[in-house]
Formats: sequence, C-alpha cells, structure tokens
Amino acid sequence: MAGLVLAGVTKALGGRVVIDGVDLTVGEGEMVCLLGPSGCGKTTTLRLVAGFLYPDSGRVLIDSVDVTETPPEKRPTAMVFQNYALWPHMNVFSNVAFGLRLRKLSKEEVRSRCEEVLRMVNMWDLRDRRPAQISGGEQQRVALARALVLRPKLLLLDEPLSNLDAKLRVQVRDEIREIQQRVGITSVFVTHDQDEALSISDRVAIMAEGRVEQVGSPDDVYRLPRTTFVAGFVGIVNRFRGRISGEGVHLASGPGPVPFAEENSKRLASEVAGEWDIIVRPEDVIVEPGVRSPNGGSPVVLVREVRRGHFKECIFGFCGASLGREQGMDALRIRAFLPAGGDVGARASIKFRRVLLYREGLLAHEVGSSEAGRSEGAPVGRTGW
Amino acid sequence: MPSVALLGRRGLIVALVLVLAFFILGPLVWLALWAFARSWQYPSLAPSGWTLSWWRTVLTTPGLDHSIALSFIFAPVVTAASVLICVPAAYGFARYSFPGRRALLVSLFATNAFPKIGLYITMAGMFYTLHLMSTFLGVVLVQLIGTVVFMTWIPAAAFAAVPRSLEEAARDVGAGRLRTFWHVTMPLALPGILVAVILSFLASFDESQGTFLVGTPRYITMPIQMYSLVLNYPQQAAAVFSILLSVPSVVLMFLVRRHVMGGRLAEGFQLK
Amino acid sequence: MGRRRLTGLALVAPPVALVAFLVGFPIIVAIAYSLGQTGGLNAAQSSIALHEFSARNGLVTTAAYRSVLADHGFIVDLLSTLWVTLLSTILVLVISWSVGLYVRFSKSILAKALSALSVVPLFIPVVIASYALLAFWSGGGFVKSVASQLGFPRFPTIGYSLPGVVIGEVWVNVPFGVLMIVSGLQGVPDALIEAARDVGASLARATRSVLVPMNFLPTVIVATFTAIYVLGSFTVPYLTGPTAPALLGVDATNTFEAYSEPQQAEVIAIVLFVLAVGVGSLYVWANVKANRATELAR
Repeated sequence: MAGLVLAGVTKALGGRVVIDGVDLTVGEGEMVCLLGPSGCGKTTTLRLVAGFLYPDSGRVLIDSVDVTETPPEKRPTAMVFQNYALWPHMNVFSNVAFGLRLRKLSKEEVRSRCEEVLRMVNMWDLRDRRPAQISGGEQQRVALARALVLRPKLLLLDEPLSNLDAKLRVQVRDEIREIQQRVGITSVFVTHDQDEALSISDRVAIMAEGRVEQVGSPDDVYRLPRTTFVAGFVGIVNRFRGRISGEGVHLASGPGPVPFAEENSKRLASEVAGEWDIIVRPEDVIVEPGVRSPNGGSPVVLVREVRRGHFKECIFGFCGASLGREQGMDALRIRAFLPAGGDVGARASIKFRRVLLYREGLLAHEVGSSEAGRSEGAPVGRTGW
Repeated sequence: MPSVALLGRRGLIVALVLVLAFFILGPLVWLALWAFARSWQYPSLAPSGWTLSWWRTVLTTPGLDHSIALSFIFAPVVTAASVLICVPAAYGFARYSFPGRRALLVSLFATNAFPKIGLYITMAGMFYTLHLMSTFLGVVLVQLIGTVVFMTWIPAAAFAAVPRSLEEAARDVGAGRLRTFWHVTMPLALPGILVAVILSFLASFDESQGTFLVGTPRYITMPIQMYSLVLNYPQQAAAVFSILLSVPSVVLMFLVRRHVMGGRLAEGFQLK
Repeated sequence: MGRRRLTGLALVAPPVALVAFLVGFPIIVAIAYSLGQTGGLNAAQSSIALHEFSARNGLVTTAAYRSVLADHGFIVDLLSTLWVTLLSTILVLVISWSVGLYVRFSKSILAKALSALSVVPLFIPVVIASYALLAFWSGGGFVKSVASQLGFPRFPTIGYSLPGVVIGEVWVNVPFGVLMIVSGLQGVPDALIEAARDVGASLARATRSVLVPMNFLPTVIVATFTAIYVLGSFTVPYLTGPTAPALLGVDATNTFEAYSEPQQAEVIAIVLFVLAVGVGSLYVWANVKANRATELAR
C-alpha cells in the first residue's frame, strides 16, 4: 500500500494547457476524488498518473518512487476505464487472468486469485461469459476485478459510474467504496457528479481549468468552499452581491436588508465593511410563513417549489413596493429547503443563518453558523490541503 | 525520452518507407521516363536524350482517337447501367431481410471467382446464338459483369451505415418511404456510392479481355489498342500510351481518395 | 412471405438475374461442356474444337478431365499457380500488417506517407502496371541496370519469370490489403490497448493479444480475396510471366486461343474455379463465425 504525490504537474495538449501546475497528495489507503466540470483536466490528470501521458513538467511519485518517466505497463497502478475496456474476444475469467498470466504465475495461482477477486465482486458464476453477454453493471464489476487482481499500489477509476443508470449508480458506488475500504487500497477516482464525490471519498479535490481549486474532506469542501467556483459547483447556492451591516444583509440589487437569524452575527457584522460576493446555502435560509413575521424577517413570496423526495426546494422572490406583484425572470430568487412546501404566491419571511463572504473569488469571512456551532465571523484563511 | 532504441526504430521505419516507395513508385517513374526518352541504352540509368516525338507518334496513331472516344463512351454507359441495376439492389440488401440474403450477396462475387477466360469461352457461344457478338450491347454486357460486385457490396455497406434513427425521424415527421430515401438515406450514403461509381467506371474503362473477345474488330477500346501498341511499337510509344491510359484513373481516384482511404471501401467487404 | 420480403427480393432481382444470366448460366454450360456435352449452346465452340471428347452415352464423360490432369505440363502449371498464389498472399499480408500496425500507433508524416503510398496501385490500370513492372524488373530495366553499374551484370533477371509474377501480383493487391487491415486496426479502441498496457503488457504483447485476435476477419478477407484474384488472374502473368510454366489463367487462354481446344480450356477454368470456391468458403466461414459471435451478445 502506498501513497501518491503529484508535484507541480503541467501538461499541454494540442496547444492548450490542460493541467496547469497541479499539486496533490493522496495518503495510503485513502480514496480521493477528482471532481470538476468537463474539460477541467481531471481525466487527463488520472491518465497522467496511469502513465498514458507524460507531464511537460512536474513529478509523479507512487510510494515515494519517481515514476514520471515510467511507461504504463511498469507502473504499479491499475485502472478501471470509463467504458470498461473489456477485451471482447476473451471471456470474463480470461479478462481478469490476462495480467496474471503476463507475470508468468502458475495456473493454480492464477485460478485462485481470479476466483478470490471475482467472488468479491460476485462475478465468479459468470466467468465463462463474454463481455457482450453481460450487462453494463456486470462489466463494470469485471473491470474492477481485473484491476484488483493485480494487487496494485494505486487504483484509478475513470468515471466508473457514468454509464450506469441512476439507481444502479448509487448501489455500485457503495460497493466500490466498501471493497476499497476492505482491501485498504489507495484510490483516485474521477467524476463530474458531486453527489458521488461527496458520498464515497475521504477527500475531494475540486478541479477547474487545469488547476486544483480546493482539496479537503467532503464536509470541509461543502461547508467552507474556498472559492466561489467550488461553492457553486458543490451543492446548491444562493449567490448575490451585497453589504453587511448590523441590520443584516443588504442586497446590491435592492431588496433587503435580510436580517441574521442569530444575535451574535449582528455584533460581528459591523467588522466586515465593503461590498462582497455573498453565498448562502439553501439550508441556511430560515423561512417563516405568513405576511409579517414576529421577528422581522424579509418579506418574500413563494414563486415555485421543486419536490425532492422527503423535502422541498422552495424558490422565493422578494416582494416589491407593491406587495404580491410578480417579478420578472431575471429577478433575484432565493432557494431554501423546507420539510413542507406551500402554495405559489404564499407569503413568508426569511432570515439568513449563515453567509459566506467572498472577494475576488476567494473566501474571506464566514458570518453566522450552522448547527455545528463553529466560531462566528472569523476570517477564514486558506483551507488546509 | 530519446534513446538508441528509439532512433533505431525510427531508422527501420524510414527504411520501410523507402523500400515500399521503391517497390511501388519505382516502376511508374521508370515508365514515365521512357515516355520522354529519345533513345535509351542498357545499362545506363537515364536516356541518352529527351524528346516529345513519341507523344506525336502515339497521338497520331490511326484509330487512336477512335479508341479513346469509344472508351469514354462505353465507360459512362456501363456505369450508368450498373447504377440503375445495382444500387436499388444494394438498398435491398442493406435494409430488407429475406431468405437467402447473404447467399445471394456472396453469389454475386462469383463474377470474380470464376476465371474470366472460362466465362468468355461459353459466353462467346451464347453471344453468337443471341447475335450479340460485335454489338454495342454485347460489349456493354461484358463490361457490366466486372462492375456488379463494386456496385452492390460497397453501396450496400454505405446504406447500412446510415443510422436507422435518421430514417425513422423522417418518417415520423411525415415523409414517405421514397422521400426518406431521397432526402435522408441517399445523401448520407453518397460518398460510398461515389467510390463504387468510380471503381466501376475504371473497371469498365480498363476492361480488355472480354471486350477483345466480343467487340473486335468493330469496337476497339484503349486497353485493346494498348496490346497492339506494345507488340508493334518500341517501348517509348508504349510508355506514352500508358500515361494516356492512366490519366482518367489517376484523376478519378484522386477525387475520391479521401473516401477510399476513409474506410468505406473496407466496410463493403464484410458480410453483415 | 411478407410484403417486405417480396420487396427485398424484387429489389435485388436485377443484378442477381444479370449475374445468373451472364455468369451463372455460362458456368453451368461450361461445366456441361467440360463433361462432354458438346451440342446445343456449345455447338459453335465445338465446331472449331480440336481434341474434343464427347459424351458418348449422352450424359457425361470425364475424358476431358483425365486428359488434362494427366498432362505433365498442366500439373507443373497447377503447382506453379498454387505457390505463386500462396507466396503473393503471404507477402500482401505481411506488407498490409506492417503498414497497418505502424499507421495504428503513429500519427506522424511517415505514417501518412506509408498509407498514401500503399494505395497508389489502385490508381493505375492493371495492364499499365504489368507493363511498367516488366520494364522495371526485366532485362533492360532499372534493377538490372543498377546491378550492372554496380558490377553485377549477371544479376538474375526478374522479368518474364514466376518471381516477377509474384512481384506483379503483390503490387496490384497491396492497396486492398492495406485498406482492410488499416481499417480493421483503427476499429479497435485505444482503451482496449491501454487496458492491456495498464495490466503490464508491453506494446508488442498488447498487439499480439488484443489487436491480432480482434482482426481475424479482416485478415481472412484480405487473404481470400488476394488468393482468388491471383488464382484466376490473366493480365499480370501474361505480361510479366514466362512462357512456361504459365499460370493457369494464361494456360486456359492459350489452350483456347493458340491450341483451339476450348473444352480443355474449360476444364482448366473449372479447376481454377473449384480452387477459388474452396478459398471462398474460408471467407464465408470466417464471416459466419464473426456474425455468430456478435449474435450471441443479443
């Protein structure tokens, strides 16, 4: 078992810089996810680790060994490809056994190791089938088995779930995580699905335009996104420009001030002057139904609600000078999560429990707190790597 | 990561390219040189003088303009007939299933599998009986045989490669079968059909044995004339005529080279 | 039968009918002729035929076959045809795979040059090609001239010889071979080769274990089509080959035109046809095998 270190890795493809100085460390036994939108460089980074690409500058170290110049067949990595890349002319068993046979292991050893790993993924009974004869989910399990049978130091997964249907995706990702933890193998996987990333990784590395925007545990990345990009990419946000005063949040586009839910926040608010990029998570929007709330929240009207299983995402619009008049498509909307919804047009009032303040894209202050009860109003430095 | 091994491998590839270039282009360049040679003695590697006089000789050969004209009459006629007969069939092979589909497709290949001379001997007998010898129709029929495989297999693959969903979308918005074929299927299959048309044209243009058997003495095409030139004139004249005879080939193939290299040709030869 | 099936059959009828009339029928008549049926449609040929064998009992006689197969010259020609076909096919496969593998793994200018070069023979009519090859490799040609200049005037002449025929047949068949193999190799996704390297296979091993097995069908297609072409070919061996031994395609023509023995010529043609059908059945078998593999998947 070993760790991975990427140091200052840069790669340009077709004249375009795809990876721009990436630093990343993956600890032994950790499952780290590279998360980001299409074109952010996550797959290129993974292929670089696997050895199918060589960096223009920087180093790749696996288990403290510099493998930057090593070809893929000599690296202690094993990859699960996005489309599984099972060899169609070989059956399941041969697909898994191929790597072992290359290492000239005895027939019995090959068979026992293949059996061990195929049973782990529940594919032993289908070992005589050809890839074309099994389903997508089964192919994926064979691809995983093929990678694990070699007992590699590093397991790489390239969007392993993107070709599965939604229900299967949740089930399979839990299986992958369970196996990874059981075997204790250091893993890196690539995805654009933040739900997937947050649910099964030890740490997440958010990438955009060839750079790593933030690395941290799913909790950290969600609660304290280092940049506005990360905040917007991971989870849903309300985002607007505004100022902070003792009365609350003054939105630049007019409405407000939206008061803070907690008294402490009011005290600290005076310390953050100037205009900010403000981000508020929907769960930090406190909503009270009714035209005028007893504690003076900002009046809003329910514009739309989206069912989300056991809760509802409610979208509110601010009330203008004439109450109840609908505002246009571009008008500022606030999203909140509520256990029960209401009728469109219903009145409510909102307060903010916690807001994040950004300047030039970087997180500067957190005002207020969520249930976890962190220190309030503290300026936030760089989140740890 | 340069290394001796990499340089060695590169050297091997360059050697391969040179050998292949020598093997393939060598004879063509050599013949082209002969077309402009005044005289050329063995074993010198270049002619003793250059001239265009052989071009004049060949171009004023009696009957040459006639044979050129005939070649350029037969080839389009045969190609057009081939399109009319074979392309609808190609569509049938591609989009319809019926008993014996694959067997019939393969049987068309029999035209290539049986040695031409064997066919021509009996065909001569047939043609005599049907009064087709030395007739325009007779020559057309003989040349038509050589085009059938190109005109069915390759367009069939081209049609099959058009995604059914595109045709279904057209039917869905109200287009009938014929309109769908004309506006959706045909344009998409056109590159493949074009390759087939050109290969058929060239097959007809270059056909010599059958045309000789059926057409002479009335219809003498360029390839037939080539044989007599080779026998009766020195190498320079034959070289000039070779260039003349190759020109349509080179021009036409150059026009479709992208489609030929792009894999349409290869798809046509698998039985799907 | 459903209406769709009838439409399908109706669409394919014209070329099938044409081939049946102009090829199928003559083949049957030719077989009949070779077996002694010298009347009817064969009467015209028969009238000028020498050394003919008629079926006395009105049905068949194998006399023509026995006569041809007993001829020593014919056996020599048959064996020559077979080894020329085999050698040409092997060489075409070697060249096609070499070019194909290089083009698959490299996007360099050299790769493009190789594939463009390989397709050149398609542009040249076979008659011209044969003539050019003969001029190049024969007594007064480039190869001999260079050899002579370098001090080897007795360098073997490759014109008008069976090796010369092999060169010619390879030259003419390289384009089809290269196109098929290149296309087949391109059809294997990079991911499959990467996956092999990922588990530790060198590029050579990945080629052997993934690319080669997956291109069984294109290889069979190239081999069978080349073999069938060479078996029945006339122009190349006629122009570049020796007078004796002659390839069977030339042999048949000479038997008919020079010796006025149409029946024997047909016998030779049918022998060739049987060989071609044998090779062709390999092609059909390979396709059936490939189709069955894909059908299992459904």
